[in-house]
Amino acid sequence: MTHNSESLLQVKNLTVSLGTGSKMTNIVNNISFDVKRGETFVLLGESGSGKSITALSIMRLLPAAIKITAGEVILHKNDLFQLPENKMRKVRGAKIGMIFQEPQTSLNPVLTAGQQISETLRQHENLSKKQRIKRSIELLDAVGIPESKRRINEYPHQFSGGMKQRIMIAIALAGKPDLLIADEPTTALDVTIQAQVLELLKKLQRDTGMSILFITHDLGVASEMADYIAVMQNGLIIEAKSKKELFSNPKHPYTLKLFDAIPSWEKREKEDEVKKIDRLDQENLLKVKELKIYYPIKKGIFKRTVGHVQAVDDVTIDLYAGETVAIVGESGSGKTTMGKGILQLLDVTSGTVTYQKINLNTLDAPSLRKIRADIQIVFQDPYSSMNPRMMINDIIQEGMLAQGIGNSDKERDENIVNLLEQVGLLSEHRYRYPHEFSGGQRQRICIARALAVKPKLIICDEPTSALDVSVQAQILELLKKLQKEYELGYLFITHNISVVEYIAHYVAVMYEGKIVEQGSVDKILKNPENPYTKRLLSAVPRIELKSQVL
Amino acid sequence: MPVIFITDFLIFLLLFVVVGFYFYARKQEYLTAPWRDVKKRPLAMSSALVLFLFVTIGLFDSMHFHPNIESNESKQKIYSNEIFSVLDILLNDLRTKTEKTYSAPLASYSFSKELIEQDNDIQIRDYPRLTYGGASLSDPKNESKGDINKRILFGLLYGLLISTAIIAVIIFILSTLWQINYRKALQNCIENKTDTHWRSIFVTISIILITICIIYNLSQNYHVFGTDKVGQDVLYQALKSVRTGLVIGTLTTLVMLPFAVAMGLMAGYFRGWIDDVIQYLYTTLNSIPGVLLIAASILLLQVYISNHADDFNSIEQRADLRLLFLCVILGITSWTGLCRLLRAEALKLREIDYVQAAKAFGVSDFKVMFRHLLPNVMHIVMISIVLDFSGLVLAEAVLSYINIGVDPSMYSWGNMINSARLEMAREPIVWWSLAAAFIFMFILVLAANLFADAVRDAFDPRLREF
Repeated sequence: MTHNSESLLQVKNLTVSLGTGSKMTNIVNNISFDVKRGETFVLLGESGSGKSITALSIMRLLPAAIKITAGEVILHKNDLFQLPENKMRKVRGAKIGMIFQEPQTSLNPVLTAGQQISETLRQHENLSKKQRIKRSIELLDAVGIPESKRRINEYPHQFSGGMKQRIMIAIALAGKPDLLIADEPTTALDVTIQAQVLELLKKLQRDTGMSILFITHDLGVASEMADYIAVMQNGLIIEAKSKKELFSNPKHPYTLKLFDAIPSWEKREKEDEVKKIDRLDQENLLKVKELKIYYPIKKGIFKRTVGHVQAVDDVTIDLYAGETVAIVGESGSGKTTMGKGILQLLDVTSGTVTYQKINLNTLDAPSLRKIRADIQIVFQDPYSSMNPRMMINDIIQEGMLAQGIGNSDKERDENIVNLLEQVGLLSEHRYRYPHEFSGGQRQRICIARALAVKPKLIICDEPTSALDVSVQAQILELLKKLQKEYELGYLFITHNISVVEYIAHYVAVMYEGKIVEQGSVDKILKNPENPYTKRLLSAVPRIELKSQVL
Repeated sequence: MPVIFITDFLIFLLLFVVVGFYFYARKQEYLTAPWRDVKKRPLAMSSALVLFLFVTIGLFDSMHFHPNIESNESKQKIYSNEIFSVLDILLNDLRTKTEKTYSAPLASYSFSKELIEQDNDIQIRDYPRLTYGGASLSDPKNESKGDINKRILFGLLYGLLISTAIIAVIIFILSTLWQINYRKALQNCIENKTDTHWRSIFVTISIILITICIIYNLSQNYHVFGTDKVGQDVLYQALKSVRTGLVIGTLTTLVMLPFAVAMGLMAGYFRGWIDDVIQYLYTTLNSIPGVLLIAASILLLQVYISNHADDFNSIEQRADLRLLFLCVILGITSWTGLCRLLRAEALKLREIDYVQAAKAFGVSDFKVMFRHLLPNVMHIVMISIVLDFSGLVLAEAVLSYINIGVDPSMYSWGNMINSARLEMAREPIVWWSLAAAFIFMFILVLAANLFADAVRDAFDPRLREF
């Protein structure tokens, strides 16, 4: 890929605003950049930084409340903002193709894959019906869908998530665009699928010579894809450099912060000596033995059970006080189901869950209620894990009341103030409602809520995957701090390998309901034995760190 | 001596509950925020005011008593057998001024020709003068138009004067509340810089008061909506029907609400056999034709009443029982819709993280339902109450029309429409009963619908972020 070649797309002084009059705020503020022919330009930033809005304004597809207030976008020497709408329609698809984050909702569920590709072909190319079908098959071949002749007549629900994203790419490529805008195309996909899609995009770029405007929040993905990177924050481009320069010599404090926020071995080693947990010295908290959770598949009017979905299949795992056991796996591997099974929130098919030598499966309801104080859970989505109708005070207090912790209102109130301070919030926050807090703050409140009943074991179900990297770093640090203070055991469910590197002592890899490999974090991450573990680890996009580039 | 009908008791109970809920809701941010939003909407405030007017009429009509008959000889008070409401006393003029038979709105002459004996003993067939309509005029044929215009004009003037006075008082009260001077308060209201949409309230107050004054002024000398077959004032009938409509609209909701909320939440939260039982119950109820069920129950009740005639002191009480029964039956047939909605919502909510978290704390099922599910389905309950109201008012009219609604002796819009069936067949047609029922019902249902729209918009979580 040649640099210094001519520009394909020029964005000049683009400003996009929300609202009118005195309430107007700029969500993209006077940004300029060039995308050169055949190059991949990455817009990198956290949520709310204005990257998607920038892409939508290039396509002139902004929602009604948001308006472009200044600037120009020049493609092939034409200012796109000056074109009438009917000419602009020809630009979309034929000159600029676009793919979105969520493949599940980007395809129309009642049209076949072939019909959806043909639709774009009909718009932009003068082909007969036969030619269109032939071309659609070629496109499906190009994006690597096997048996394309048969699958062209299938509906979106018959394809997996990764396949759907491939079809989206085929549709975007149907008009032979010079520029492909990819808005977080792999965020909703598993790492192994992500690796395939990224590889596909690179291959297509080599074959067609198109440029890609790639939007992502993931430094790893950016490092894999980019020729040139622009870092966005609050609607501004704060640093724009070629990949090499940016990764070897980041200047802006925000960029540096982003780099620092990424959890990794290096960060773990830098922060403190990795505390080696010797399992022999520790008290065994949790023993899961041959746990099976099956869902029956029922058919017919008599609802006969014809088979089972084996959500969790024969899982055996141990957890000791003060250690973090990470459960790693892709979506659908049964990690969350296992967590809920341990908590007895789901019916267990067979196997035992033993907590401090007490078998939870056979426990009667009142004793189980008492023991619930010891095992708590922190959920993935900070927006749905708190009742929007309750004040923070009541949310944190709920568990204490249910467990009879604290003798008086005053004592509980002091307790809540302490907890809030411990998780880095202020005491006056307790009289507010959840919607007044950001995602990271909400997750802190959820941690405080779990701590309120003085648990010994916390099941963390992807607690950071809905958060931005910088917020994720803070939450992980908080969890580490609390672990040291209270000797907490964490069962840490995640799909993010770098989080595992940072926080885990012991790792279990889950695949289709089974644990395929488990062992200490060093062993699993550095010398994996199972082929699936190897595949998973190699799919993780790596940042070429300073030392490697220099 | 006051008399309390069962429906009176329930109406005041409902009023008590609503007032209680108001004081409870004032402390709950998630309930006050949407209502504040309702207060900002001009249409919502206007329709709320109209509803308020109807509710006031209904409440006045729900205070019943036996009037005492003046007796000078003995000191003991003697009560009449008749039962009146406060509204009857307020509308005494309308109630007592009855003609012989039909008369058109604002007429001075009867609607049908009669034999009239003249001074010179000659009988002629002509339209006789009405006893009350246009009674003050000596030559109604020439004077009535001028008289009517004059009364409308004066009504307009009085209405303007009274509404100006009331608005002035309201602004005075507001200015002391806001602690600003009078002029500034007036300016704020007119330029609409207030939290509540006062401008639309003022306009509505003026329109309502002017209408009331004009009608009052005209009714002094005329029958504004004419008279019916037995010469009773149609305006009086229409006003008395307000209570029936409101009772049906509100008490039915009161009857069905506990069923719908408890069953819906239980079905969705517990799943399993509880869900099965509740689902079978409402699918069974739903598959019986509603009208059939209502007709059967009303007939049953009629048989009961005629077999136990001694238990009832008056026709009014009998009619009241039938009204209550109708509410219960309508409630039983209409709770299924809300129950289904709530079941679906509870199914969704039981899997949500905060419910799972509460379970992980060992919070009891009842508390989870009460503290986590109920507040989060309140918007659905609120929306369906206001939306159902207008449907139920209309249902009463339809059921009375086919004679399985309220008692024929009870004033209701449905009964008015039912009797209009024959009136419409006359030549020339008698249209005013139907028109009066239509206008009153239209205003009430339209106001209720507009208000319901505003409430739905304010409470809909998709339109509003908490």
